[in-house]
Amino acid sequence: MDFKDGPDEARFRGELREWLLHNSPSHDAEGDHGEKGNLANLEWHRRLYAGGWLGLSWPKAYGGQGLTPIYDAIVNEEVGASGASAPSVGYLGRAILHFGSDEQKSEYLPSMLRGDVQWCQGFSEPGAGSDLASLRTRADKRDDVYVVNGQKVWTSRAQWADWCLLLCRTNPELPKHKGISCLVFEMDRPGITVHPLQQTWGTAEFNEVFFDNLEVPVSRRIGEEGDGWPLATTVLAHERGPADIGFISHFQHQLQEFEALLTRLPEDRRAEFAPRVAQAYVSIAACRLHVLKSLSLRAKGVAPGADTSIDKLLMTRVEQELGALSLDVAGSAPLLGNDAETVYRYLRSRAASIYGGTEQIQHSIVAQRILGMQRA
Amino acid sequence: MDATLTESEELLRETVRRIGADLAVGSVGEFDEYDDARGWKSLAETGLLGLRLPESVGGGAGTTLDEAITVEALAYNSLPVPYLGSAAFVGELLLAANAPEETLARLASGDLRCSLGLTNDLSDLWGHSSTSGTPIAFDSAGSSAAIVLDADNGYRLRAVALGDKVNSFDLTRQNHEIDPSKSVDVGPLGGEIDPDVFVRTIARLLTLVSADLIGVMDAGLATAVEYAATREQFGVPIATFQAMQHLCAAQLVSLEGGRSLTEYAAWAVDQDDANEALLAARAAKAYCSRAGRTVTEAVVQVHGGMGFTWDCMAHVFLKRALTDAKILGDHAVQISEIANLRGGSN
Repeated sequence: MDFKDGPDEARFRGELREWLLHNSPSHDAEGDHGEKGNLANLEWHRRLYAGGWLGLSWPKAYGGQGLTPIYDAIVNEEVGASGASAPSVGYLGRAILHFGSDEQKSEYLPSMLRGDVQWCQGFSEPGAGSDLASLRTRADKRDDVYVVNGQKVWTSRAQWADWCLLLCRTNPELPKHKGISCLVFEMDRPGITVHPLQQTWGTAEFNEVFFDNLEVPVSRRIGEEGDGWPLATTVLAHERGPADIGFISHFQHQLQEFEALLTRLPEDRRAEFAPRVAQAYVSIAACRLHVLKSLSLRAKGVAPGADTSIDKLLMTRVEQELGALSLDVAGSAPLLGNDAETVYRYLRSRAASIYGGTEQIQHSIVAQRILGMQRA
Repeated sequence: MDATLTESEELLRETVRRIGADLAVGSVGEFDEYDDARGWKSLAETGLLGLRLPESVGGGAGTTLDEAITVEALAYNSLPVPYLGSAAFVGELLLAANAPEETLARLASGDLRCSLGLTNDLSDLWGHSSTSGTPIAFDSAGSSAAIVLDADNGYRLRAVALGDKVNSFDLTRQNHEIDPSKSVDVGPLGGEIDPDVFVRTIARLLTLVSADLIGVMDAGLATAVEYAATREQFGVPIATFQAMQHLCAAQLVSLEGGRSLTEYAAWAVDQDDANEALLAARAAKAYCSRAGRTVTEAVVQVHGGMGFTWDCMAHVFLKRALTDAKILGDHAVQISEIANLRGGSN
């Protein structure tokens, strides 16, 4: 065990710090959680990539730098310390990396990492949430195309996405986990209707997506027919590992804000909230250090497995602790319509125990696959 | 950077767990008549008493992380041998005071058996922030004396006589009252401790108690999971119920969060600057003090009515965890210190 940067890691960290002194995300879209905010995030993503700070652990052949995931953690720490958040870096792409052909990897991954092409994830359906494998969106093969019919839901950023990675049923005769395949396609193809869903904080991030005889060439299938379930598991294991989605930087950024806020509070309120901010520091440290352990395992070639559920659960605890702290420290303002950002932070934190697999599903995974408790 | 244990660190954990298992009690009833002298001798023979001491005195020249791994692995076996209080704690203070080799050699060999004097509320070393109340020699089974900070003389060590044994809630440990006015001679104890070294030493002690809590939580959770696999209700093992699975899974999440903080603190106290080390150690102690309580309470819950019987190990874990939580400051104490440390850095 050695938490010290190696010489290359230290040099990298120093150069990144220097770069971050001169580069920060645009504040024009601050507090915008709609299209403008999405564009600002993409712009920040592209600048970070152009600077050489994103997609580090991806193979060089596909736009990465072939470094260990420890470098992703360094980026998260430093970007967070600079007061910004690191964008989510293509955890969907992990599915393409593991299951796609060389041609598909070359076609899709570099533009995804650069932030030039935005993707959405067509997984959940009205009847397939936690029980994802019961999904019913059909893809019937006719000659060299699949004809897709069905509906997805909770599809984040589908209204802005250029491409979609879709799980669909290609063989209804097989047991439910076996008959699923994965297709990718442009979101502007005929037969796709996106219907944004207004969320509890007022703007729309996720969507319903309807498919009506959408045609997707067979060459756009990722992996073999029936690879859909292991592919989904790969995506979810990465989605649950916080490095791929920038959570650590986001937490550290929020902690800095709370610590700065404390110094501006009147004495009695500072006494009330200082222990909670200190507690948040501890919770974030536990999550960050556990993630570092998971990333170190990945650097040693251990594939992410059930242990990423522990990362996800620690992350959920932190997110919701910070969300509650935001709400409580803001007093009555969010309740009187004067603090949309706090409303957003609090309500969105409640989704942390849903997205990427609910807290309950994660607990079942930890109990059964790590603690070895038998299924009913 | 590598946030995982090395092979030799993993091997140390396995080895110490085996040593601990050999010395462990077979049932709760055995704690009362346990021969801790035999246990102490075994730990001396295996080199664990001198793990952190220099090789020149027969020590292992180990890191704080090695020591934390050892504390954790012995706690995993609920070992009623005063390793934490009388070997690890005392060893750290003697090292900090630059005690002469003859003294360190007697600690490594097991001949010097002393415990450490804490304030009556167990939240600090006696003589540090406070000299009021009757000090308590913590984890003092078989101790011949207690080492205290000399309140009138800066950060110096002094040996004092043990008084009456106090009733211990924790079945695995003994404690004694001490009268700090009754000095005794246990040999030379070194000189004044440098303030920077003192901060680092406090960080080490906090880290080691956190490691003890990790061992207790780990053992408690393993016992609960094993019990749930055998106890049947409604015709099936209770381990198959989601209610049980989710309760146990949530405890593992807390345990692993605490483990990551503790391992980092153990690394930081040797490698990082003293204030960063203290912050890391207080974070570990804050988290583990709280998690230690919730995890071992859950262990009692999984055992149902059985968890309230004296012969079931569940209360052994709970009581050791509650004791550890208080030692050198509970969750609230650490949080308040962290708020000060973080506030000062802004």
